[in-house]
Amino acid sequence: MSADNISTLVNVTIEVLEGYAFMLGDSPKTGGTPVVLADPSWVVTISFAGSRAGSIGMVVSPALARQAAANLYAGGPAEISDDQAQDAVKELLNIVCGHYLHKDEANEAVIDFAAPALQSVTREGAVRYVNGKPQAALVVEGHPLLLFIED
Amino acid sequence: MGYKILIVDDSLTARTFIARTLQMAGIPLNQIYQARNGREALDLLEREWVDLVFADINMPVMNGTEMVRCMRAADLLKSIPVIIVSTDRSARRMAEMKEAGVQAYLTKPITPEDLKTIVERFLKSA
Repeated sequence: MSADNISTLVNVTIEVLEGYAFMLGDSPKTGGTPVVLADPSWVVTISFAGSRAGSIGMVVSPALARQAAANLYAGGPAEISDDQAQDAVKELLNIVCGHYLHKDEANEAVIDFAAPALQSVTREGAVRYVNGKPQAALVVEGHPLLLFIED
Repeated sequence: MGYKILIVDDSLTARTFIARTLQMAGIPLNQIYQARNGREALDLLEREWVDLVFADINMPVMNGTEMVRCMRAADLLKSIPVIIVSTDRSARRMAEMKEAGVQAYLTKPITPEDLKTIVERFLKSA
């Protein structure tokens, strides 16, 4: 069940990144360079309740968030503030969550979303945070992104 | 000449994306107003007339459902079309918003084509 869910989350995230933030993401190649989280990393989570309850999240590098925001704001990464970069990844996760929950659920399901939350943590803190949770790594335009599920 | 459009969303990214997409769609615009929640939107609508409102549902202070109900109860605001732009894809939520008085419901992410179709549908005579 968790393996199916994480696979759905990966596919949905790749679709949303491409369609909304114009960024290409892929799973790391088997035997390739391991994905190393940034230090610091931003842990973004969104919880939901209703027909289905739980939460999903992503660990992103500030550089990836800044690039995503630059694409969404049509500016350069250097012009993007931390607030804009953080708002952009929260909005991305919000969209990912909507697609993820309705990918397998009938559209009759009613689910309430909480506002996404973000915290900046060290690499070790990020690793501890996701430890034991179903997770999958992506490489997005050369930046690490770790997806995880808490339901 | 051009349309006056209000975008209501607690995410600056979402508001910027919609504003940019409206411009990319080649829609003639006079002014784009932004509000972070339903309360701010209603305050703005007391001072400014707009042709169309794009609004999210989940927002702090006042959500989209409550904002639409307030607009539909106000003589001066009830004729302004409201288009919901949300991540929520449930049929029940869509029905609930329609009952509250919204004209259309789009799910994020939206495209310039989606916006152009909607704006042309509701603003042809504006």
